[in-house]
Amino acid sequence: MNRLDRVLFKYIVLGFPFVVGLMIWGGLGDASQLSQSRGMVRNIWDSLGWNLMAWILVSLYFTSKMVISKRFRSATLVSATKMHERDEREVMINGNAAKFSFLSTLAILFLFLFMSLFTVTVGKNTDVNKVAGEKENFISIGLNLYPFGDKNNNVKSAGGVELVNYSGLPLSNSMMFMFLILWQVASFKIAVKREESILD
Amino acid sequence: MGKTKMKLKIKNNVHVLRAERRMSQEQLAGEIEVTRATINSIEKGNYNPSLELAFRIAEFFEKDITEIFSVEGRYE
Repeated sequence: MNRLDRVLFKYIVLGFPFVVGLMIWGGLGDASQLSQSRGMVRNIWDSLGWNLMAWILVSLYFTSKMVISKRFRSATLVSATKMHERDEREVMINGNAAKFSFLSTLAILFLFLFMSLFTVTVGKNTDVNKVAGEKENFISIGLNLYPFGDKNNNVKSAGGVELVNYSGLPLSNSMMFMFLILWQVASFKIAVKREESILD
Repeated sequence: MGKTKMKLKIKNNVHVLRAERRMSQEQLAGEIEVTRATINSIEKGNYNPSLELAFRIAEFFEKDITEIFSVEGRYE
């Protein structure tokens, strides 16, 4: 990592609390009122806003460079995850932990895929939409296989009164990505500790 | 699932040779460029070093590799 990247990395880490602070402040107060205020409050609000913009740009640069450059990725993520490879034993431990982490994450991804694919609706037919001879209650199972767009918009109503309606994972994309990143790091760390306890 | 592999149980006398030279694990680790934890694992028999590291240990103690490492038995 060159000197500029080191400075930018420190900015990402140190600037993050201010980004969170702005989000909390904007969430608690009225954002439009804050942006029209005067004096000290306005200055702080504007500074935090500029910081947010700069932080997003720097984060975008950093994450893009991590994807493109192998050397930069290793330098950044190895230090961020505190990965040690000082000798062959630690290389072996990291290898086993990476295998565990990869396989467990893959299993979770399969589960997420499966859970986001199917839809289940359990309901009751009303007198209006009930066809002669049709049963009182119904269960409808379907598949959501849409490559683009909001899947919830594509789910057709089964009619009647819906008692239970499951149409994919109740998690936002950002939450899912955050969970996967945390899981990847945590599972790796847990596996390293387990491997070390076996070898020590 | 799958076949069980036959593994070799390898014993070593690194701790004896180290004690003869009145060296700490830390010192030996520094000499052969590994961590203290690796020396500890090797001495306890929990970790079998690579052929390269085994040769480095043998070279350091000025012994033949078979004088330090030997097969104790086999297990599945």
